[in-house]
Amino acid sequence: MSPFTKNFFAKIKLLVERYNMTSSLITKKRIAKAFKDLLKVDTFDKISIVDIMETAGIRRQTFYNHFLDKYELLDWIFDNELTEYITHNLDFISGKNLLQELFLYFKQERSFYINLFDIKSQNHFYEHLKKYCRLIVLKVLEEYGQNLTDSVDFTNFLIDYHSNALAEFIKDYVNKKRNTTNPDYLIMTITGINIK
Amino acid sequence: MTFIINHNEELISSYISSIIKCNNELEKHTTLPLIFHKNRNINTIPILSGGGSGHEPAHIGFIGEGMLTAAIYGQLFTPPSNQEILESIRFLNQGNGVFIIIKNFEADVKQFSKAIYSARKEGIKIGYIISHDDISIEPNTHFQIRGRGLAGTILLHKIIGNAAKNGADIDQLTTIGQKLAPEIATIGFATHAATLPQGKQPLFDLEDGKISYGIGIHGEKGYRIVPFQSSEILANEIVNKLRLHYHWKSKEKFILLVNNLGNMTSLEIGVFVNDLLQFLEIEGLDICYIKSGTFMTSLNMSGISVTLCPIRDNYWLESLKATTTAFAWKYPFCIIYYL
Repeated sequence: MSPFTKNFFAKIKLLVERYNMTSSLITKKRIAKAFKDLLKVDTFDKISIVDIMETAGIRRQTFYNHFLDKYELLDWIFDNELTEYITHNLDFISGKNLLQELFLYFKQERSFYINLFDIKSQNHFYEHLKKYCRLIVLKVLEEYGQNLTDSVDFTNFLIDYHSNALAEFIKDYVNKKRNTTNPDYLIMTITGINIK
Repeated sequence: MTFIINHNEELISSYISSIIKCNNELEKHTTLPLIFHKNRNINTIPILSGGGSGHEPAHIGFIGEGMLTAAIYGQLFTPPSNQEILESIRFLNQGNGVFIIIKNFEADVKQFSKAIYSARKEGIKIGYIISHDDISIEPNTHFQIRGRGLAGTILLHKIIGNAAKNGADIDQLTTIGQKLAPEIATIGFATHAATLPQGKQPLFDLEDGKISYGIGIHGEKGYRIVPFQSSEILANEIVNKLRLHYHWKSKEKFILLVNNLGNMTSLEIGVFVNDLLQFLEIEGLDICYIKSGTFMTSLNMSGISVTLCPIRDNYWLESLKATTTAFAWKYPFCIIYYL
């Protein structure tokens, strides 16, 4: 077997092992928490995997069972937290409450996201954020949009337009260029209906 | 499913009979569906709770010094009548009134309210609190919180029961109840729905290998059905819903009560609690008191509910740690304790 093939199979094995980890969420969250705690006092570049794992109280090698590097960890934190705050609450709270929770989350995590925007390009996360904003806009339209047009084209346009606007609004909110807003205003803008 | 029974009509009376035979502190009223504490201190305010059967050991298992003075029961998932409750109030009243803990279910509230109204008309002082710790939602009601009384009710039994033991009057018990009840939150999941004895179908559909989040204790469906993945995924979802409710801060102090809803094995509960505690630790919470066991069931439902309560008053913690003779609190993994 050539070194290339050997290396290739070793990588595949590692990926399969990572995929098969049945008890990984707690460990991943411990690592994420340690990383976020370190980011409060240090810059991204100065934080090493050793630092993260020492803070988490887990042996260093375990990091690589879950993440390739610090960048993948950042992506996971972003995706996991938005999944838990948005996707997992779509069937549990109203669109209005979901918007309130979303702004509360970004307020609490503002310093982390400001850091994150500095580390990777804002566009990288902005594209991800739009996916989640789309879920919210769809939910708001389903819950409150009684007078939606039958035109599929127009509905798709409406969803795209408002998803982009909401993502942009959140980005400005995180960067302190904008104060939070009353969710009723957002719902009125998205649906054209005053829900009060 | 096989349910151990002789005759349907003797189901509840046989259970009561066994409890009385095994616990010499407890006595059955001669005519009423009421079990009471034989050695109760008549100088303290009696605490009464109850409701439909099918939730054993609630509420009979919580009768004892420092918890309930008496528990009144109805048929399966059906509360006792207001007349039976009224007669129980008269029986328990020693002149200083009676304090009642009611679970928030429409039928229960209706029967207890009528009885309280009549008792007050007779001049009996009544204090009461309605437990409404269920933070799951009622499907098809635009995400309205269900607010029914679940296992968090047992914390009310213990803290109010301890206050009564220490000489609190009706007004003081009411104040404690009003401060405590809104702070308690419960949410759970099921791996299998309950089936009525000799019933052919479970109370709601849940395929093998699936989880229903946010179920109630009377066959109420949950808010989501998902394939089972792992204990930690279950614990994570439960913690996320409790976090959404409390918006807690790191280092906040909490009481934790983990309840077997019926048919979970101790082994499964242990695995789940291990995960649950780790997620709560990651959240930075200070869990000052943990109680795990079988407190309020829904027949043979397989599932677990998790109750949290922030410690707003140190008296709550002292009360939970205080001794009681109530068997279901002392020995929460035993069905019946032989005194």
